[in-house]
Amino acid sequence: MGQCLRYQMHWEDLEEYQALTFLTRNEILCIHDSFLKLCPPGKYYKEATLTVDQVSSLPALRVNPFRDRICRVFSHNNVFSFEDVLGMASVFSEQACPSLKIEYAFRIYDFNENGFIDEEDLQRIILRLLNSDDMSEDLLTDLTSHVLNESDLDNDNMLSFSEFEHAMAKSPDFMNSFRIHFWGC
Amino acid sequence: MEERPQWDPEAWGSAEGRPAPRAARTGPSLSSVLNELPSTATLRYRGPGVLPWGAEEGEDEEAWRRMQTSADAAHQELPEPGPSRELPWPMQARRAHRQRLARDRVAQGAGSTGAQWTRLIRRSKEKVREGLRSLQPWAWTLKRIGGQFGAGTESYFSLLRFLLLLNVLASVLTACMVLLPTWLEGTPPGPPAPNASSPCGSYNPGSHGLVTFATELFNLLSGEGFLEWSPLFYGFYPPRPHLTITYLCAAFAIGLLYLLLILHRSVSGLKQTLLAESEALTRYSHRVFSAWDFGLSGEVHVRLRQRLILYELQVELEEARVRRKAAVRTLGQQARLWSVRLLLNLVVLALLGAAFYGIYWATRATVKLQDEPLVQRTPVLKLIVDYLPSIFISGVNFVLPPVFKLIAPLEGHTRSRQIVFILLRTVSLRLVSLLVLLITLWSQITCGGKAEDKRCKTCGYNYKELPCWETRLGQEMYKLLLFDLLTSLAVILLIQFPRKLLCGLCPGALGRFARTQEFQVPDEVLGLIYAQTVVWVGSFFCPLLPLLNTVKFLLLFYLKKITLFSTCSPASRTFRASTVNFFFPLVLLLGLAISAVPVLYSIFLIPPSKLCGPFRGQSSIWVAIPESICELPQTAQNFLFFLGTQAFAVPLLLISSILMAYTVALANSYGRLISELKRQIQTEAQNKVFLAQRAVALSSVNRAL
Repeated sequence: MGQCLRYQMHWEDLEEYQALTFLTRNEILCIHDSFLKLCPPGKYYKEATLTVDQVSSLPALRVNPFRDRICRVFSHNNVFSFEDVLGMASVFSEQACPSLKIEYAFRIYDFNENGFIDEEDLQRIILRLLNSDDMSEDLLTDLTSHVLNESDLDNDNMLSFSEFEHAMAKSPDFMNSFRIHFWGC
Repeated sequence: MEERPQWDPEAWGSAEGRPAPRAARTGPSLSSVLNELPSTATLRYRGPGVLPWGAEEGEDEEAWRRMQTSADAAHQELPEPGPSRELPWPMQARRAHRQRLARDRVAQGAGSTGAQWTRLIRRSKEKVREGLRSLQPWAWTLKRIGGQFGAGTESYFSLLRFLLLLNVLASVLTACMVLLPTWLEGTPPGPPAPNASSPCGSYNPGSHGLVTFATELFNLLSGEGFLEWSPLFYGFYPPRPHLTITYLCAAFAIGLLYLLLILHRSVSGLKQTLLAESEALTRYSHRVFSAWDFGLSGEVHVRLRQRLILYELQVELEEARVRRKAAVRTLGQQARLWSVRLLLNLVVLALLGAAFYGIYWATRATVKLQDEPLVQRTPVLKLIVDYLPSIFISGVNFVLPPVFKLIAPLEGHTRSRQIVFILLRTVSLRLVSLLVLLITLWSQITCGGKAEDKRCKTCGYNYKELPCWETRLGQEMYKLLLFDLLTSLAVILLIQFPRKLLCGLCPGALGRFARTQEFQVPDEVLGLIYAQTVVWVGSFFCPLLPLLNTVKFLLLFYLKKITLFSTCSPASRTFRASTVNFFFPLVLLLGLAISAVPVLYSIFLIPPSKLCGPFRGQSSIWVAIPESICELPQTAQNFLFFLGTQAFAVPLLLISSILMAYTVALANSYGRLISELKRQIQTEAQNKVFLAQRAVALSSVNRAL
């Protein structure tokens, strides 16, 4: 696993990334360093890409039950460019604004990508959370119906984005739990 | 109006309007129509040149390109306001947006200096905030703790770091306003001569001749001997005029600083929790969507967390069942339940009362026992007698909370309410035990509040037993601080580490008992708040106490961190970070309020000692301020004296009450508006689904024609 060409990041690029993401200087430089270690040799960092498997096996994501969804949401054409990685770290950073986190959380939780979180998505979320195969059907349906009773305002048995946003904006724990510290910086 | 036609349910899903499955249909399906609504625009748009989300792969190229260009065009017409980094687009799109905003700004001209200034101010505020955040120590340690042990444990260490900052600021202020003026006007004088006498008795602190090393050590631990007449305690400071003013002002300034910083910290937590709807309405959604702490790493912790989530969900459903059962309880069952609850509450009150009486007895006994000749001769016994109140308080705080934890499940409340009850009882135990100690000391100093008592008549305080009562108060707080540190050390060395080491080698149940040692967040946080309250009470009478507390908290941070990583496993009950951020700053504020009462009472109402301290000879400690105001120019005098009159206080109170009533009424009306809007959303959603169904029906009818 060689390294990319060791280009120092230009100062203008660093300033631009600081303005376009919620990351601090140190975090961007840290991610830059770690990206250079992982990407294939002989390429400029702005053109190099990481595969989904490489990103999935990062220590921060390795044990996350939603890592495949995270990788799918943030990658383009199944690869991660440097800017995709920065975008992902920005959404999961501590300083990111709630609206951005809620938007991406909705995309991550929408397993079948139909623009709504329906019963099938909810059941898959719960199964992933618990990671156990011996879940009773009753428990699953019970939980799903409870969640829909609480948050589904228009009674269409699915959560649209505005309903999800309405529920999560009032959750004080959501911001705390939707955070990842990626690169050991 | 025409009569409502009968829709064929099979053609477009059930009557509730579930979108039809994605099988190929003739013409647009309900879901594709719904996908094209303006409200899903942000969800679909993924930036220029990127496939819009939700677009079906099987559609023909032309339709897809049409959708994309229309989406692009729509977004190019109205650029989103606000910073580019808040947009949920890929980096390329954000870059284009930022450049477009810059171009627009240049096009509008540099004439709008107001806009430029606001931008400059916003950018500098961000830089300042980022700078302050990078100054905070141990940021990486806290992240690591949060990743392994959860957000609750991280909040404990974050609170410890915050209290450390408070103590450092207080020490710096004390050094500037109390220590510096003391030495500025020459070295302070030594203790009064042992044979000097006055109508208020004699006071001879300090060591008497040569003392053994053991006695010196015990003096260090109990604040007597050479420490009694040292900058550590109030009695040492000389009665210089400038020092009196700065000493008092330091106390008030530090108190105000504490209040502002704690309020600043609690406001963010309060904002989040008060905005949250009552938990009953969004319990399950929160449990499902915010349950997973994305910052968790490490296999073991992940598996534990999964088991924990399953446990909590089951408990949640169980509680729902219990609540449903409770709703149908018969009268007899209710009566039985309430009598059990009454009995248990009486038991709790009896336990609390016994604890408080024990503390009262211990404090009184200390003074009596200290005059016993046997005790005077053996230093070890003297030390134990000195520490009797501290030992009692620590013992009570150690024994009673587990008893509360055992009692709570018997009361038949839901689990979350049990936790609230346990916390309330533990908080009242800790804070009121401190209050009882202070009240006992007060009754000793002022002879039970009776100014005509023969022991207090001459000097206003009990001069025979307590010739320098402020130093005595400072010594009690100093002993509480030291004993608290010693108990923490003892618990770590004698209970936690041996439990891990020895029981880790034992097989079976004992080994599992050792491995499940957890970091009990609420107990630890309450211990921290109690320690800080002790320092707040004592810092007027023992000016160097914040400095000692800084050292103590530093030691505690590293000790707790080492213990956490070597002996504890992640908590089996998540203590939510939001509870920690809301409930504990409130308890901290309560501690601050409770600690202000004895200090203010001593400043205003108890006559200061005649033989020691900077306020000796005055009728009360507070009198120094009005006397110094009289030296200011006339207008300043009039203004400052006006602030203390009723003509100022009563209107202030009236205006505050009116503002509060107005805010409450505003909050109520917002609540009503929210429910009204929710109802409207429901109606509109039904309208939307109806119209979409109608559109689909009409277009398929058109196609058929």
